[in-house]
Amino acid sequence: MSTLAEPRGPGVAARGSMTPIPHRVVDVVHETRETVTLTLEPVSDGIVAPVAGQFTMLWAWGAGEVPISVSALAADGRLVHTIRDVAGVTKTLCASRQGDVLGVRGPYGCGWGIDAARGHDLVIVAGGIGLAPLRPVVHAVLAERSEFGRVSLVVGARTEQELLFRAELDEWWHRHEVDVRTIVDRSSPGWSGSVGVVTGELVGLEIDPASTRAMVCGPEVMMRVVAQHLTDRGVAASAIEVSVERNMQCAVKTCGHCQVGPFFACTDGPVLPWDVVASLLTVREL
Amino acid sequence: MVVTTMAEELAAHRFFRTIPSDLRERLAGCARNVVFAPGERICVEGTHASGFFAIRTGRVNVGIYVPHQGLQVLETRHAGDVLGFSWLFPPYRWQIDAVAGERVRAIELHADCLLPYLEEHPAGGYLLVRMFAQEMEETIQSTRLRLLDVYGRDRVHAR
Ligand code: FES
Repeated sequence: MSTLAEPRGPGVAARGSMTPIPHRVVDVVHETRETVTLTLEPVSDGIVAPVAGQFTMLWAWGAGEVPISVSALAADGRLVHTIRDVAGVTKTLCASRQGDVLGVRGPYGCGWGIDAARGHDLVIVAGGIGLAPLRPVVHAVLAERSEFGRVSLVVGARTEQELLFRAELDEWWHRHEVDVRTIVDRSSPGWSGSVGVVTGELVGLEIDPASTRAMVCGPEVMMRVVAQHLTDRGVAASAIEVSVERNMQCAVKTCGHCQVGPFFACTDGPVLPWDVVASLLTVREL
Repeated sequence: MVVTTMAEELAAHRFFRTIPSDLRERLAGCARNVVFAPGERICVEGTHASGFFAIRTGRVNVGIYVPHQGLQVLETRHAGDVLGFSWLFPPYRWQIDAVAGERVRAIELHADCLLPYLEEHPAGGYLLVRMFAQEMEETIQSTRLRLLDVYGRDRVHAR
């Protein structure tokens, strides 16, 4: 069983300062009807460079602050975040324009175990906006492709129109270095891919349980069925990582809002091994 | 060239992997290999359901034809899945339309051959019906999950 005493990621960074550091929006990409990718540049000093799976607290002046995962690792202190408009602060963030200034603190939390996946087959499963925190993992894998065994990426979305990073998915698919599979809940005219839940695409994947590691991010129900499917096929629960979402306020293990049983999603997570969180995620109201 | 028997091909398919070899041999006698080109209709709603398919490779889009809108795809069946439950129950009529999403290789099993045998051999019949019941449960569960609209409800911030 995994223990969180083991170093699994970069842990808490920049814990000292709770002051948001000003960053300017330098690029805005409308990914889908309700999802936007912002590239931010520090106005003067930036924050410590994040790693895949970490998040920052993004502050929209006058609206408030929310935790947002990094969706790409950029050079030169730039930050890339993909945000879904779910009202409130996220609505304000998604309405950002080039030149706007946002506050950033972080990065926070533990990232994906990319190093632990070296030498292994890797199954990446993303649902909806869950592809955003996993995108840097795919970038890392493609940058050092020979370091990994078979790599599969299964992406689920509500509809074709809500699939994130569509052009990039096509590019990855054409490179044939990653087995990219997409599946939507509801088909629309012209959609020639699969329809169903993500486990439908997992059925056809060849999986060698002993050498497989998995990274899963999406709605909690989806992560549960994916982890169940993988463990049913013999993949060790400790080899499956999920990104746990909780209401985060302070991001530095102070407020207790993000507590999942004995763990704090902001510092012990958001990426946690399945064997550690499986039983907790079935507890109602936890 | 390696020649495999139908029983071996069934044994290599996820659905039949765990059944006793004597039953598999019997099922093999009711089976044949079929290939569908992309876009080819595999079954048509309202017509006689003469058997079922064990998909070996490729994807099958399952749905219902809506006038002037074409096939409304409701789910995709993949390699390792079986396609078709209607052969088991009266009135033995397909309730769905299915079209090959890409080139599909499948094993077709014929009800005319299977049903009399299963009636006479209830142990094998019970086992097969249980296996189909499990497939149906998985299909229902997949439908439930989609009704839940998990992606639409995903009010996640930290992603
Ligand atoms: S967000 Fe405050 S303790 Fe984790």
